[in-house]
Formats: sequence, structure tokens, C-alpha cells
Amino acid sequence: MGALPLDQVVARAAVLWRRSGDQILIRRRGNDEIVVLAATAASLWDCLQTPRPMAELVDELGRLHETDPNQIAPDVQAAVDVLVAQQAVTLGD
Amino acid sequence: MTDELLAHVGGWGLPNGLVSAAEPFEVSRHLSKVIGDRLTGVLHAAMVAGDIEVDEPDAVSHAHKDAMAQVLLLEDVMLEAYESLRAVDIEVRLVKGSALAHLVGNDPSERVFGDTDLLVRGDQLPAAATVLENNSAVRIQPRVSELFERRFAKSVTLRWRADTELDLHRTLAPGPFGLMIDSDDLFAATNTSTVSIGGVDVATFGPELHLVHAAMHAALGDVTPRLGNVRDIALLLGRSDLSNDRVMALAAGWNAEVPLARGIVAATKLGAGRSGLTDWADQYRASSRDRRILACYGSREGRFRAQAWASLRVLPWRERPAFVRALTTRRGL
Repeated sequence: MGALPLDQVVARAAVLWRRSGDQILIRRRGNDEIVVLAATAASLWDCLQTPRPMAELVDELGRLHETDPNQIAPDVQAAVDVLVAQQAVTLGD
Repeated sequence: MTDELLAHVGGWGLPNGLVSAAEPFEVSRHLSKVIGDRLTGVLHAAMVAGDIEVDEPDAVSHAHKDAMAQVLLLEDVMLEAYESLRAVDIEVRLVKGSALAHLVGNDPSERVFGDTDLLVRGDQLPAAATVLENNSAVRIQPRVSELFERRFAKSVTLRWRADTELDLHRTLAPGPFGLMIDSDDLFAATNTSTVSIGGVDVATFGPELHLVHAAMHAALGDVTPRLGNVRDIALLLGRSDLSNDRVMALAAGWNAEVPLARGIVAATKLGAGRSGLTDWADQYRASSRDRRILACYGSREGRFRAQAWASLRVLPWRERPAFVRALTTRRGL
């Protein structure tokens, strides 16, 4: 696994969301767009409810899905980048 | 849809809910009824848990996803309204759907709702409506009179963002039972809690007031209450932090024992767990006065007129001229 950012990553409180089966529907306040996270991305969202460093997030998802964290790290990072761009997730100290 | 099948869905997960139904759930025959009773979230959860077999699971999943998209829109609208009102020092309580979605049940996704309900003080109701009207909200009915709104109305309904409906409530029920409620009780610190929605701590009722409100809504709202509303009562009855004494004190103070008892009896039939409150409700007998007042809620036809006349009888003498004046300022009885 390459070096991951040390910043804490966490779902923004100012985001509205609901679970529907194995999907998560996310709505940013004042924005009509609904982002739908499916399957593994939904478990990523569950893990993002608690602030933690990226490396810890990757480890937790690896454990949940019984997968080598090194293998999923790039995908997790890419998914988090998308959520950060959509202002659904924040990076901080 | 058979009552049994609907009761099976509405009572799912409740302590004494119907464990199974003889009839299978057919989407083409039953889903619209479940949606109408605001039970889509419960049906979806029961289906995912494997407790209710559905012939077209994808259709239920789609319906649930649509309902969740709608409640997210409604919560977005609610937060905008809440913050707009708080910004001008209007005291607000979030009531009914969105508050209950976060406070009762296993998961907010089980509770579907179709509008936004905010409670404000009567003397601030016209100003609250104006704040939202200045922000492009539109009343769905013309104002009877400002005096009526301030002192006697149940609520003002506005159409707002994305064609959603927002009710600004002054009290918890239409007609005489709503007029017997002491509005100071609704805003008392002891009856207030908060719920976090979208990062905002939104003021709402404590569980006792939510229970009395839910029971009044079920008993006095629609002629036939939605089972989703009856389920709220059952879930509130099951809360470990519920004070039965406080529930009874609120209801007694407002002469609201009859609607409370009727709501609780309906919840018991749906599957609420037994408690001191369910035993009390089973044994409660309405007085002849209560039955006379209840009569104005029993029919869809001429409700407003019947409730206006019944309201006159429960108002103190000194309030009656103002009530008649408020109603006749714009239109007659």
C-alpha cells in the first residue's frame, strides 16, 4: 500500500442521507442532485460516519470485505476523492 | 387489500404485531395501499429481512428509493424553513414525520412522510408565514383572518420548494380539541428535545408530547387514520424513556384523554406492547360531553363548519366574540 494521506476523513454532518437496501442516497443541502452509493460504496459511507485516517479506513474496509487492504486502497482513495468533490466528505486534521 | 395483510405490514417488528398473513403480498394489488398508508419503508425493511414475501421485490425497492429521495428533499426544505424562522427569532418545533423518523423505529429509512410540519407560537404564526411567503412560498388557501390564524387556527399550509407542502402549525389538532391545548405546554423546556438532521440541532418535542400528538392526529385527523401514524404511536409507547405520568398529565390538562385513548387502542390493535397506558386506554370510557365533541370529527363533509360550532362550545365565554369575529372577518360560518 502506497503512502495514504494522514488527514482524518469523515462524512460531512451537513449532508442528508438515507439507506435503501444496500444503497445509500445522499443529498447535499440546497442541491437537487441525489448521489447513490451502491454495495461496497455504501459500506464505505457507513465507515465514514466516524472520523479516521485514510489508512485506518482502508484497513477497516479490507477487514469488512475480507480483502487485502493494499488491493482496495486505490479504489477507496478514488471513491473518497469523488465524495470530497461532491462535498459529501471532508478531509481534516 | 385485506386488513390482515395491511396490519401485518404496519405491525412488523412491533411486540405484538401480526407474525404472518394468510394472503401473499402482490405488488399490483397492494403496493398503492401501502404507499397511501406511509408504510413503504416498513414494507421494504420487512422484505429485506425476509419476513414478508413479495412477488415483485424490485418494484418495492424502486418505490422505497423514490420515497427516500422525497424525504431527503423534504428535510432539505424543512432545514431551510427552520433556519429562516430561527434567524428572525421565531420559536419553532419540528413535529410529526421527519422528527419521528429520527426518533422512533430502527432506522429513519423505515419512516416515510409526505410534507413538512413545523409548530410555531400562535402570536408568531402570521409572521412565520410571511417570512416564508417573502421567500417564494405560497398559501394553498386564502387567509381567513389574521386574528383567526393567531388565536384559533390549527395551521397554515404553504406550497414551497419543488412543489412540496409545508404546514406551519399553531396547535396539534383542528377544532375544539386543538383549542383546548395550552400552547405554553408545547414550548415548555420540559417538553422539548433536539434531533440532529443534516448537521443542525433541530428543536422538537420530547417523547410524551410526540405520543399525545400522534394519538390526536390518528384519532382526530383523517376519518380513517393512516397505519403509518398508528405505528408511530406503537413505537412511541415502546420507548424506555417515556413517562406515563407526564403523558397522562398533558392529556388531562388539555381534556384530550379521549383522542389519546383512541390512538393508543388503535396502536394496541396493530401490535404495540402492553403497558400501563394501554391498560388505561382499554378501560377508558368517553363521557357524553367527549362524544358530543368527537362527533364533529366523524365526517369529511362539512367538517370545518361542524368544528367551528363545536369550538364555540369549548371556548371560554370571553373568547367567543373574538372567535366569531375572526371567522366572519373574511367569510361567514
